[in-house]
Amino acid sequence: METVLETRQLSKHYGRLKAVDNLELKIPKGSVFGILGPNGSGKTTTLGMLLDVIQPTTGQYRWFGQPGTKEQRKKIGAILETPIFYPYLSAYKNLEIVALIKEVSNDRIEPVLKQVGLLDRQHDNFKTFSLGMKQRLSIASALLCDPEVMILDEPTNGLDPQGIAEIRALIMGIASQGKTIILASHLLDEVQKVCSDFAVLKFGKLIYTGKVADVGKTDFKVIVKAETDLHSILNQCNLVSKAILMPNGAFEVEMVAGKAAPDLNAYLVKNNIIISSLETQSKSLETQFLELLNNA
Amino acid sequence: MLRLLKIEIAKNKSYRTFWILIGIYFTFLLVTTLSGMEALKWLAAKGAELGDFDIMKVPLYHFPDIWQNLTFVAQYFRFLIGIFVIISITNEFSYKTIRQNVIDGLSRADFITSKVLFIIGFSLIATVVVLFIGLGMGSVYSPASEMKYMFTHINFVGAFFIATLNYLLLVMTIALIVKRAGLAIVILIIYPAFEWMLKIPLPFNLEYLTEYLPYSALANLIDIPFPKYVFMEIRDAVEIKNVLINLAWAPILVFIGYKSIANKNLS
Repeated sequence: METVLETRQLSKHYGRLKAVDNLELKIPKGSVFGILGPNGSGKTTTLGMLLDVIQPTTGQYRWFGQPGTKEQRKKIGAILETPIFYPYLSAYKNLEIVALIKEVSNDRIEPVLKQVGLLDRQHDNFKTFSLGMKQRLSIASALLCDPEVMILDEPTNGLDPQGIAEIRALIMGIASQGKTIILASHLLDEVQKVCSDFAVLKFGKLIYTGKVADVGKTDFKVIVKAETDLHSILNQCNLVSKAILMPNGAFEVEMVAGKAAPDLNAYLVKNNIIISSLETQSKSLETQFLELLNNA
Repeated sequence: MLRLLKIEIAKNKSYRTFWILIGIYFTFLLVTTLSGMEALKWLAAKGAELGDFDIMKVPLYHFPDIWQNLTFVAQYFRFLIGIFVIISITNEFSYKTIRQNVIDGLSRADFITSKVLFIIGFSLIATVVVLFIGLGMGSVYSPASEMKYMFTHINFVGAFFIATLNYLLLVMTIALIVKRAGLAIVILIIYPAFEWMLKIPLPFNLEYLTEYLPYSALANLIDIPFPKYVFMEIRDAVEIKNVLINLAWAPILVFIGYKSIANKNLS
């Protein structure tokens, strides 16, 4: 698969603090790649290095197989942390500056403002915008050059639920056009809902990377409930490695390797037990994330 | 190049502070340089005397005197544009827009170049205005016998351009180094005195070395002309040596400014 971005031993040290430590990342083309990590784990520092605003202490990165240049950045749409614009200029005039920097036509400005729903506020000064509008203007600015790659750093930070839903819908719409999106976030839910791949950072170190769809595939629990007492039958069953009674009367069952809910159901039916409910619970990204952080 | 100039124009053309300072600059420039005869009248009314000489006969606007008189007075309003240069640079740091410019695809050198082009453009416009004031006022006030000196000493207009340009480049460099508006303005105000004070520890025969410092060099381009009307000796020409010192400083100042942001983190 084609790689959009590759980092090799990328590090940033501030004195003794290792903000980013030997980071090795590969981001495949067309993916929505989540960079997850608690606050202070080095997400923004990493993105800053990839965009030439922070000088790496050691290591390299390659965009599209080439070392980073300003010409590449013109084709990348990126926002770091908070939306940054000239407060005394209107949305339209701010995007005019971006268009000049990125060497794209002003004809792009209206379509992107329309896409983020800011067309009727285009002549108002940036400083009069609400946070949600500022975030949307950043996304418009990132879309201006019709980028191959978009970098979004905490794009829903500080937004109300409706704003979050709007931004997420925007991101998913953009992703469906086949663009690569790199999304830094400390919100697990966001990454799980939006991303195809993800990496987890802790103290500047990469501690996990994989596909979101693979999360919890092999690691799940079966919740089973019946009118009769299941305690003894479950404990006798050799498909079950552990069964715990939960306060609501259901049992949380861990299966032995290779066995799943249908196997348990077949076993119970064979033993003439009629169950009232059977449910597979795959481990959420949150559980896995917290486990990763604790184990690292 | 043109694109970089357009970027800086786009940043400023709807910025009210810019138009206010530009407006004050040209108002002061025009009012002061056009009212020299009024100033003489006022001096005469106050009873100022030049020995036997009628003060109203001082040839302020006569060719070729006008070029040094005009450019000497006009150059000091550059301070107002210096304030604007400080604001336009320190804003980029306080709003973090320099960081976003780099993210969007400007290099740090492009960023400096776009500021320098704007400064060159402004200095050119101010110089053209001064040139037209000189030609206009000189033609109105010079007696017919002196019209043949119209272009004598017109190189003071060139000196005005260099002095304005180097002053604004010096201000730009100070602003890039300190990155904070208040501090940069304070430094701008005390910096000429600082260069002058460097003379104090120097032995008398080495004092001339301070002439090579950037502010002293640009201030020396146009010497004060008025003492000649009370028969004192002045330097009434643009010295090539001073021009060369200034031409050397211009790229050095830009380079120092560039170095203060090259290889630095923009957070």
